[in-house]
Amino acid sequence: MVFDDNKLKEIYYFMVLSREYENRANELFKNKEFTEKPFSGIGQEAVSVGAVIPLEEKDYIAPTLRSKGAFLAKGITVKDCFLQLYRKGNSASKGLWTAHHMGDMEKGVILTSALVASALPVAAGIAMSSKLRHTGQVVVAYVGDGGTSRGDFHSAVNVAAVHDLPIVFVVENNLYALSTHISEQMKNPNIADRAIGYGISGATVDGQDVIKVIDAVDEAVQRARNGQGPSIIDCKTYRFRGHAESHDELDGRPLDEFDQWRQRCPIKIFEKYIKENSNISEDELLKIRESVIKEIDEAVEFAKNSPDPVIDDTEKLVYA
Amino acid sequence: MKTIKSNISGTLRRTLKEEMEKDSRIFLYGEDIGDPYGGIHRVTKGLMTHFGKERVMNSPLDEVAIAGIGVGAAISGMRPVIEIMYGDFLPISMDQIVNCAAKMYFLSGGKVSVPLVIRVNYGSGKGEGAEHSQDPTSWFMNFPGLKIVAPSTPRDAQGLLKSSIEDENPVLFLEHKMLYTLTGEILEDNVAIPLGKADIKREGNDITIVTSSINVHKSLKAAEILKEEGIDVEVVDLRTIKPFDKEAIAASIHKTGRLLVVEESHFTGGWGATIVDFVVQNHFAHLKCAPARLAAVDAPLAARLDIEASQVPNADKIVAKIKEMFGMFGK
Repeated sequence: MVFDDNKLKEIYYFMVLSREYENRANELFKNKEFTEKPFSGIGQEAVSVGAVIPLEEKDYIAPTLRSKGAFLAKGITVKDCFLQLYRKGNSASKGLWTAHHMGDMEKGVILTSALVASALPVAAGIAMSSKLRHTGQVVVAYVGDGGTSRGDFHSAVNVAAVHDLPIVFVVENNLYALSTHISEQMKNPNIADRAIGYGISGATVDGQDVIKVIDAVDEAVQRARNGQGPSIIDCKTYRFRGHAESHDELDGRPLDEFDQWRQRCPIKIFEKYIKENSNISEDELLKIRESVIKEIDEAVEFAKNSPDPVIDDTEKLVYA
Repeated sequence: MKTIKSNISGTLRRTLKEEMEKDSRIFLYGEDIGDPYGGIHRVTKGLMTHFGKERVMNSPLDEVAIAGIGVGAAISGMRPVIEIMYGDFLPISMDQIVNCAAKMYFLSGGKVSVPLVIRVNYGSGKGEGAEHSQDPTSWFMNFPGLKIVAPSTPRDAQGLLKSSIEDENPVLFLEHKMLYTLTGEILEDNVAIPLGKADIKREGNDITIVTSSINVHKSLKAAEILKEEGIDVEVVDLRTIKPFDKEAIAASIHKTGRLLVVEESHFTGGWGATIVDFVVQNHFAHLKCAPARLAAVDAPLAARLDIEASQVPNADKIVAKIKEMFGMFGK
């Protein structure tokens, strides 16, 4: 895909928004402002944002709890996120669900189960619905390396393959599932190789390079939209923080591996790309960063001042 | 209203066809439901030929995929009716159904509903063994957000299937395998039977049997025998087991003062205990004797007809239990 300066600024905005939102959420959590433990996707912004960029407004995503950039790039605001974090009455779930599994069908964000990979068969179902209604909608379903061990990954990919469903499986392969290294998770760490077994397309991508992620996912999205079925995109990336904010940054990983990956910040890599491929000035990028901070400040203020839920009987909220 | 004679299998087929003709959002998905096979109990036979492969689809052999396709389609504009080949296989789909489907409305703050119907056949009587004869009701009874429906007659099947399809919530629609060939009068023009409403299949004054599905028929048979003994039995067919009709049960208990719950689930953790508890907690003053409950034994069902029959309730056991409740011991 080729982007004009405005589009490049938009991509940059979402990556910075994701990064700064998470920095702020981590800080607030540390100060015990809310109880929802953040599961940081810092370092993975190229994948979480990049896989949404090829999509149209009518398309869907099924994010993981770590793909914060995906929620934001698809149209969920940081205000929505903070309302959820603070479990406020005017949050999307009326204070009853988490921020990292929230959904908004009007923006094409699927509310996902907290069970790792359980959202994948549901995502396939949405792709089936798109196919049967002839709407041309595509689903981008995210999953981590650990999630691909679950049977639900197999179920979703196989059923999508056999019916040529319009879905792209984007693997956020950050080498770890909590504390389990990929070598303890599977024999072949190149998850895209499985595509051959399913009779579908697969690609392996440098997950720190947002342009490469966008290009790979775009190809897969076009294939899906043209009725050519699903793809598996294995994005090699890395968590810059621990599994959860209650863990330390290194979280048991080897220091040299950690340091090596930390040198490949996806935002810095994209800043270099912008410098070499556009007319966007440093000053413009600075302005974006500043406006993101302001947006986050306002969102936190709004959320803090929002009302707590008033629910006298949760049983009344169960059935439609 | 004009009626015609039909068995449950044919009634379900006819009802699916009518609903699919009226609403293009309905599609069927499951293993071997297409033609020529037409589904494990032939309920969907002819529907793929009539509606085509975009409305009736065969799935891969994967109850997770079937359920996931159902949930996803239901939250994005379709009204799927999925078939899980045996109720016994539902544990495979359970996460999709109870975590993804049943909780979606609540967790989305009431914005996303899941109009999904999950049809299964279930139950003992064919000696099909431990993993092809179970009653899945109690496994799902405990999960908020689901409805559980079990028709006992062709007319109930007709009206309840329509309501289940029209309901905005996930509905587990239980078809007892021994009742597919049961014939009865159905309406030529279907009228929906509301979910959550029981039906008095036999009026009586001396004791209330609360039950469902095949046990309605076993209870009616027992009632005929007990009539000779001077005991007048009222049979309350729940029709919807979750949520169950509290008013109907209460009204019956106020009339008879005696309760026997008959279920096909195993004794421990069986849904019938919830009914007993409901009556004891809320209508104790009306009880003339301790409530009783008949359920399947706490053992896997045998793949042998005579042993299987000894493991589940039957008319004789119902008669014996009721006589016991009236202090009539011995034959």
